[in-house]
Amino acid sequence: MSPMPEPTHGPMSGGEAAVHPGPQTAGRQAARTSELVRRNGVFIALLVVLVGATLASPAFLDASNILNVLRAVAIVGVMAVGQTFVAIVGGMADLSAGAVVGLSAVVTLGLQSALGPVGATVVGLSVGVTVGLVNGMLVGRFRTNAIVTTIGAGVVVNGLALWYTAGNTMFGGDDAFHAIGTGSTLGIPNIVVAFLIVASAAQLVLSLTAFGRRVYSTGGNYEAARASGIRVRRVVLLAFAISGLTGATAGIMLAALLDQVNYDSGAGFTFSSVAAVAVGGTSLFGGEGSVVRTIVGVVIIGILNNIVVLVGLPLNAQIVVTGAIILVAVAVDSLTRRRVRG
Amino acid sequence: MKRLPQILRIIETERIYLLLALAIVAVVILEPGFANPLSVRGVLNQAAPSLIVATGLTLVLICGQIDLSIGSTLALAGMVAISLQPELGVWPAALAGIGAGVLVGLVNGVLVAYARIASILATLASMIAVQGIALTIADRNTVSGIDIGTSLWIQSSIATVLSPTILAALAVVISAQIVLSQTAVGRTIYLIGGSDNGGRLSGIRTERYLVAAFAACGGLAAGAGVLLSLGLNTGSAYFGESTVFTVIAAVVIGGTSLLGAEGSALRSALGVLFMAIIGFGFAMGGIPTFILQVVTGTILLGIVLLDSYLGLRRRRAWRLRRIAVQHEATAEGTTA
Repeated sequence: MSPMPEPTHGPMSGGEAAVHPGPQTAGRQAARTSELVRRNGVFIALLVVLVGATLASPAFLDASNILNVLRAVAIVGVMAVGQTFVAIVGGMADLSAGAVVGLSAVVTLGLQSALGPVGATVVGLSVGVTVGLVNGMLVGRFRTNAIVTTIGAGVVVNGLALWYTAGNTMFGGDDAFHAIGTGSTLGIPNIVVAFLIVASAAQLVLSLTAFGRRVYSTGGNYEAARASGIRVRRVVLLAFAISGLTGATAGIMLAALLDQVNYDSGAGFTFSSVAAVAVGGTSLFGGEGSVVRTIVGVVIIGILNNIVVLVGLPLNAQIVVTGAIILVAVAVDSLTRRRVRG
Repeated sequence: MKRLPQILRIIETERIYLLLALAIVAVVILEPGFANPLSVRGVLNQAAPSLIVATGLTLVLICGQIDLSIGSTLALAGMVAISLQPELGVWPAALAGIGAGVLVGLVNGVLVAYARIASILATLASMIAVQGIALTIADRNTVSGIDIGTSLWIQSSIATVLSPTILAALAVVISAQIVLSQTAVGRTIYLIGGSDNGGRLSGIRTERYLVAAFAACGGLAAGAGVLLSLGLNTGSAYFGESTVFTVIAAVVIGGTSLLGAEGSALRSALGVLFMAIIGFGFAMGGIPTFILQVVTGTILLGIVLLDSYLGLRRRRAWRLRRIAVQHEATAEGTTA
């Protein structure tokens, strides 16, 4: 076999090389198995984790415990839905997402007394969408580097949230609003319901609309998509705007749940939401993936964290386990990809 | 009108010198107290850990990779260095901290170079895992050192404006700059960052350079964590929380690109100094932190905009051709 030049694998590249069928049938068989694992690995992993969790602790399958798992991941899950759009369109990740959560949350609670809960929530949403539009404008229209751009936007947004709160904790005080955040519908916590609604809507947009198809084409091959008449810059812009919207939604959920937030309440969520996308098997380099995968990624991380608690490991082990699972996921993805290339 | 892009280009390439000069002049005018050796040492002491982290990150960025685990590594190294003091003594514990960082860097490097995992994903995973380990060491508490003497010494005055911490940072920056600009290893690193293929096709063992760059980055992040923790006589798993963001911002403002093959240790260091000086100026002037954040973020956004407007990619391609030619010339020289 002739040595094939390996594709570059920098943070700005990666992704797809042409499938290079091997000459021997055995090789082709192995490649096919690899491809199968790569495509379905995350779903197999979910099954394994579910079975493992059930064996590790009988308490796992309690309905209340399952709801606990979902409740714990709902907010990061909503952010991860937006990150999925950014990843599929080829924008890697929105690192301002955590800052947007913080700003939307403090604005939503802070304006409650002046505007009422509905008005405040609308402003909270608009703030997040605005940040998303600015990110999208820069990355889509002016083709700036997404990582640096969203770091910069995140720093500005964080500064604005600090300015708005003057470093103080914001309290809401609207009982109805707080009750929605902590309450349940038909036995399912409302924040889980919100997560499911956001995720389903997003999956429908991705798989059923023309915009969804354009997101895949733009991320899969930017130049080809542009040549075929897709307004790629606008598609990228909208993907980042969606991430701003989901960040704001997550912020409002956090505000409703806790009824007291700080300017940096979302700081820890940024990388968790990117991690969920990666574990789900959506490429950060564009063109492939789905919201369903991201949900599976979020749930896998949630279940593993839950097991850590159930079997009585120290809480810090959750973080180590999360790191390890991301590593396993991306390693399997990378190794099977290589096999496919032959 | 043709002049404008030309002027912008000069501003873009020389931006860090302009920004630094502007910042110094502004701070000296607004805060005359700044122009004394004590404040200079204060600023440098505070900037020293970031200078060291930025130097390591610069090596990785020039290779065309990224390392998100620097903040966690910094925290872990500080925790190790402080918590092992009772058993090992101050300096062996400090070495152990740096060793932990090199280990993290080696793992990152192997994952990226040999397992061929995209660096942003590999280091995202190690960032989270290492943070967990750092949190575990003292179960989320901070730990205090046993030797306040060392802690005072490493930031104490040498020739008024310097200190052991500052000298360490300067030594790191200068040696990295020499390696990058004066040696074949340095040229190779730029070549790898420009095109992984190009490097491998011309017979470079890309993998080894990548592993070395990540190991150096991990070791330097750890060194910074050790210095920081020794200076405060405290280790905390939360020390490096915003390091990734602040250091990437500083390095990009300095002129090192996330696309690879662009920038230098010196430029990155000047970027860190710029941030430290405006931070100091704002603090002295009693200007609220949020304005500093908004200003820094806006500068960063302005710079990425300028970079993309001026076609950074094209300029980079041109520079790379030049480096490749130099490299071939050296290679021919050695074989002849």
